[in-house]
Amino acid sequence: MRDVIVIGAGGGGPVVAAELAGRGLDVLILEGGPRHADPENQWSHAENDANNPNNGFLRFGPEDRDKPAWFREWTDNLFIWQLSGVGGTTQHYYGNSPRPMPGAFRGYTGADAGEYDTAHLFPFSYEELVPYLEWVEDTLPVETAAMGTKEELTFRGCEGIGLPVQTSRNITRPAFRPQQNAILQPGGNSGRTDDANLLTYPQATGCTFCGHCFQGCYVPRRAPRNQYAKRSTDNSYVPLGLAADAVRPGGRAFELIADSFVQRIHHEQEGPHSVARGVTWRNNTTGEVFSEDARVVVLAGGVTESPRLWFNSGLPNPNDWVGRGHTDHHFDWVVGSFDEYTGNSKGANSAARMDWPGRGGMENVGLGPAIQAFTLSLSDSGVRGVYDNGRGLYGPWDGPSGRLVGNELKDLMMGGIDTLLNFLVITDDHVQSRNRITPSLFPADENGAPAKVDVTLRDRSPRTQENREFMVHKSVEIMRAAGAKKVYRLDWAPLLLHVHSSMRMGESDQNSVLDANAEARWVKRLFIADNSALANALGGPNPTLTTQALATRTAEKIFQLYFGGDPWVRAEAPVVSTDPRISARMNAMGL
Amino acid sequence: MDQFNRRAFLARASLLGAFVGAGVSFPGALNHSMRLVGRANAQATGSAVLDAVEEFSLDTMRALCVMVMPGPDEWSRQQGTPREDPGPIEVGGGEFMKDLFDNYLAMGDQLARPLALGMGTALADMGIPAEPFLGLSEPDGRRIDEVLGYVYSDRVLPLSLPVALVLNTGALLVNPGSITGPLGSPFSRLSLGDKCRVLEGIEGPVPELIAIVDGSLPAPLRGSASGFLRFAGGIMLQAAAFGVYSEQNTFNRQTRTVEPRPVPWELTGFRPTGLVDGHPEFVGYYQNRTEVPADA
Repeated sequence: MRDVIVIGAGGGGPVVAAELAGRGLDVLILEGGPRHADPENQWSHAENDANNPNNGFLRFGPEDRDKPAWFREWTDNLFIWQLSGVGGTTQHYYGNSPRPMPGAFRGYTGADAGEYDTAHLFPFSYEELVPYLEWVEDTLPVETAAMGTKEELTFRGCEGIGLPVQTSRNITRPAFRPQQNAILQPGGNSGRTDDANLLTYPQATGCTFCGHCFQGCYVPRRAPRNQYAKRSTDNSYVPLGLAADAVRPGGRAFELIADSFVQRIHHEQEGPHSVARGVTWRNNTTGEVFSEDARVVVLAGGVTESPRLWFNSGLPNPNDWVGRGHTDHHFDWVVGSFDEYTGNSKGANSAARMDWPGRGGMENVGLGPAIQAFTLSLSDSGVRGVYDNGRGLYGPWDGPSGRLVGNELKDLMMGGIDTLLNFLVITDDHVQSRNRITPSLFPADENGAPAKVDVTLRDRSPRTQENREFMVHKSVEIMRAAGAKKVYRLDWAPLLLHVHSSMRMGESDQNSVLDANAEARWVKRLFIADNSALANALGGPNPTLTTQALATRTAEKIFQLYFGGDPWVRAEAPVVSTDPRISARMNAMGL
Repeated sequence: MDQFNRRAFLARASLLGAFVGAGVSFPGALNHSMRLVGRANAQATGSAVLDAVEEFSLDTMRALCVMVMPGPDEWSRQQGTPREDPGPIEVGGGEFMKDLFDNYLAMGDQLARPLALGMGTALADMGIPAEPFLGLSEPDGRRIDEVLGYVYSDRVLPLSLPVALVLNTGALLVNPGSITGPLGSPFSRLSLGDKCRVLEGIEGPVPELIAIVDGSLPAPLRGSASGFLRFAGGIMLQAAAFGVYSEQNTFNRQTRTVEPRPVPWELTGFRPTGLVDGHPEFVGYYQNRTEVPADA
């Protein structure tokens, strides 16, 4: 019997696994997707090779790229860009690691307290989370981003509208700042050359400004895995867990099994509660099925797959909130075209950020031509100037909102990929029960009923819609102040990149699945440690850092509740995931 | 229900393609231009039915691609936006889209049957004279199944067919005259404005085209199958844009190299010296801030 089985090696699972392995527990971590053990020789910087939803190396599917991707049912014009594989969606994220808005937590008393989703607050205070945020910030580590040209332009725009610079990690007022990114900053030749011979480790360290964050990060070449610039969990917490015995007294390396999809969580009735007992999984390649028992099970399959596994396991759902409350930051997209070089396709893909507490935020995003064209073709307003699906919104942007087609799109693209600047609008998206994940009625695959994603296109709460419009207007102001000659608003259809809260923790047992410890209210010894555990959309900041801080806290709760241990975050110092002892272990393992 | 199985569904699909392409009774000669465009999955089947299916879908996907990247090709000329710089036909856009849809679903006949039911009813309502061809001969039917079993896994539905059918059903609604003319499908004969009207019918708040299909679906898939088509309708232009502006046509998966230089990179000025591991793009730190203290 294992001490702990963690389901999912994405953004959250490896955090719990590595922390508990560091405390000497026997931890097994299972991942449904591939283990990209040698990305330098398995990946490329090419956009379709990486991101094709059918057979890209970063997709939602099994290890064998010739096998079909896994099916999910979507009910509308929406797309969830989650990934399977060790590292999960952090494999292609931009490393943005801002802290959450304090107003998203219980007990906040600022003047803007009423501006947030107060019906769905975290069941503990922001102050309680801060030590865990700091712990994760040190472990990854999270660092202040350097500038490329696109950041210089963005900051010029922010200065142009009189926005102040934020000098705290905590978000306290409307302000802009360099991103706090889980990316190692450039050292040596990084950022100073495009000569491949000068960009290998250790003469180059940290971010080389290659511009390919969305295609996964394997730079600088020849670096040990834990020294790759972007701190996705396959580069940070997984190496930490694999070297747990080398960096913590009494630590024990965790066991990682990839390409193995968990089909069922075992449970049995014990008094008034169900109790989790273990899991069954299937090797995608061989078809073999395995089972193991565990004292504690941690579910970290992601916002879409965690509810799916819950339903397929027949776990209890007495208040019908499993899968509900899905939030996605109700994104929008603003593009500016410039007469000058913007550096759009180069550098860390997002290194500048603006926040409006109580409303949301926005960030700049650098892109290559394929994803740039994709972003310009995604809209709920139909085709710009032709049909509008009942929207076609007008405002300070040029012309109606809507996707670009024909010569307008091609002419804009041919104006040069490096004359464009993109802002992603990230809305404080209030929790709504109707946005949900349920089992699909389409035929089951080998792992049971697939997930049906039912997220409304337009029926967001009035406050969410108001927040989105507010942030779009601010984005356009900044874009013009930065020097854009023309500004486009896309009015994006749901592109689900930041997803949260489908198994939310909460103050009330009437609208949450998890208690304040992230333990399932009706299934003891079962904890959740991915974005689905988040109580709300955090006020707008990218969710990974908060999920990882919460997962660290959850690991402590597990250690205290079921293994008689003491918490450590306030008592000890974190191990930085670039630690030379971890590098030595990675070298020894050929990683 | 036997008449609504995958074979019958494909027969209906192929018939629409053959009918509108050749203007003669199936399995007569196909339109010459359709022969020229080739097939995404060039299977030497000898089956006129499968040829028609493949070419009909490919033609429709090409007509979709020129919406987001017009070029110097017949499809762009037909939609009224010809230009001299290279377009999606040169980068295999139609083949990319067909492959994307045909391999997208880890899904079997269960979706095809209700879609066939809905589509068949919709076609009949439109007066498409498919009826004489519903009774495919057994040899023809077996050939379709064998080829599908080879080209696609058992659990993948060739979704380009229903997608093409939705677009062409819409084309005939928007412009009945598109049933005859150059190129191999009604959708490819539309102007850019009329193509947009077809997409409007699919993705609008009241998706008129989908409603036609939805009304014929058996419960409990009524919402699910039509919902899936709405999703497919929504992603058509996004996926086409992603594919035709990417390196997909000249990427070698074995060597992980891009050769020759992709057309869209040339068009957009992307990576003039090919894919590199870094750029001299570091310009410093804003106000020299390299760190934010935890307690600031």
